Amino acid sequence: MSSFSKRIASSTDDGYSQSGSWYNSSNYVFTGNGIVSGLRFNSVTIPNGSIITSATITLYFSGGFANNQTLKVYGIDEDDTATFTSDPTGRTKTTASVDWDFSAVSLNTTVTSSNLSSIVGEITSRVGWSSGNDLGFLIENDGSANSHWFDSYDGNSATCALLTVNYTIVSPSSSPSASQSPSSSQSPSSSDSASPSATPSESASISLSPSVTPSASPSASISLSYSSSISPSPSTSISLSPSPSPEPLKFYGLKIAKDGIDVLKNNNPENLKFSSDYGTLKYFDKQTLSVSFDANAGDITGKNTYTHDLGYYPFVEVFTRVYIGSPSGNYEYCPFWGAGATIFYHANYSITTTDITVYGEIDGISTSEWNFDFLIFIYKNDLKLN
Amino acid sequence: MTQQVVKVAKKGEDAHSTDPNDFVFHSEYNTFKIIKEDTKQITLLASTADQSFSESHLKGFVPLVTAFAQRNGQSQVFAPNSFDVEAWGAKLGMSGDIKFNYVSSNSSSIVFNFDNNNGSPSVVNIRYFLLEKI
Repeated sequence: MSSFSKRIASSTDDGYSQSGSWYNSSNYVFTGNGIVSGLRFNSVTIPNGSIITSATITLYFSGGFANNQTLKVYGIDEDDTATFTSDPTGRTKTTASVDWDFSAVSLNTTVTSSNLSSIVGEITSRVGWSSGNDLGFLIENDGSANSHWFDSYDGNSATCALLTVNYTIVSPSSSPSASQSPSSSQSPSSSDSASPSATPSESASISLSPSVTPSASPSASISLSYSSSISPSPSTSISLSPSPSPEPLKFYGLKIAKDGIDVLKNNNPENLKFSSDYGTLKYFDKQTLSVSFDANAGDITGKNTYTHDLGYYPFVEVFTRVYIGSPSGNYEYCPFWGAGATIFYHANYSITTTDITVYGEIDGISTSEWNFDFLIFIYKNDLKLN
Repeated sequence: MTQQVVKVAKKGEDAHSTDPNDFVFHSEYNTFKIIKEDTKQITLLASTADQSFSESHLKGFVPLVTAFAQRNGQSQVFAPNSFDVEAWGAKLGMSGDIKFNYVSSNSSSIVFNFDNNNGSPSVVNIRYFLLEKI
């Protein structure tokens, strides 16, 4: 285990944004209502890909306003973030964020943040991160009614913001992998019997590596169904679980990188085919529904319903084709509308906690029987509305 | 160096299948990762069309985005491009006066666009998903 600790080292490395203006020469860094604070720590000597076991920011209160704070901390998602000569609050933020809530700090005391390891780990595992680069944070208000003042570099360079990181250096050769996991049980052997893929250009590299998120349960486990892509090699099952570890905050994630990407050094979702750090759409079911009505009989609308009974609003995608007579035409993404010489036609759908209802409608002059075919893809992702 | 894949077949399907539709997951194909998912509540001005609401994401790239909207107190949820909600009127329980026109994104923000033809303001709840770089 290694440690890194450093305070803000320059006047333009801390500041705050308020009402559209950026302040970096104040004696204080403000947090709270209407404020986004920025902190940049230079020359952070943490090697790329290290496992961040803990990371905190400590602030010191020597005077000014003190109020309860409800904050959210982000990292600046850059390889080597530049100093804050101008407002940095528009810079790209990390996907990881951490809540930091605390009561008003007593005079001449400090407050230390929640564990920011997920944020620091996201930055130090970027492809372009190198030991000695500069690392930044943005602290946004997350419900505070008032502000809090803390010492800035300009106010007191000895008590300004302090970053403390504990980490473990991981070298690629010693990193746990699918065939080198510290506690993997493989039956029969997997990597030895795996056959080459038929399409090397579409290959993927795989890593099962300790995640940097320390809040996960130490008992997390992964089960994989693993098989070669060429028959007749039998499929092999691998069960991986964390070994009894003196560091109980670790868990194992799964990343699969795109071709040519180093999976051990990359957390950018654009470069990964799969990452357990991100959610996915959970495909559940496909249904077909049809709606027909006879305009010659005066009908211009129709609807049909599928009952999913999930008890919540599911994520849904719908495709529709519209035709007169025999089934024909292309499926289009729904909702949509189309038009003929004398007619508009519309397809739409709505979702409730029990049903998906599809609708077809025409608007114009017609004497035909209209048909709407719907393909409904239902995912188990809960929209959590109401 | 051998090339390896991770495949998870659907229940009842052969893991050696060459049809990607037989798999729940297949490492030769990308998966849509949900980069960000969140809710937003907006209040539509009364009797005003083409109302846009921006939500910052600051990802630095243009994400594929989708969203679903629900008028406060109503049971139905709609997808964007539900321009015809107005025409459905009472059939959809939306009082025939709100249109979820579109959702769009750029490198820093998501934009939701609505019409409200109602004579009073309307509260709409939105859940949106950022699904990777376009």
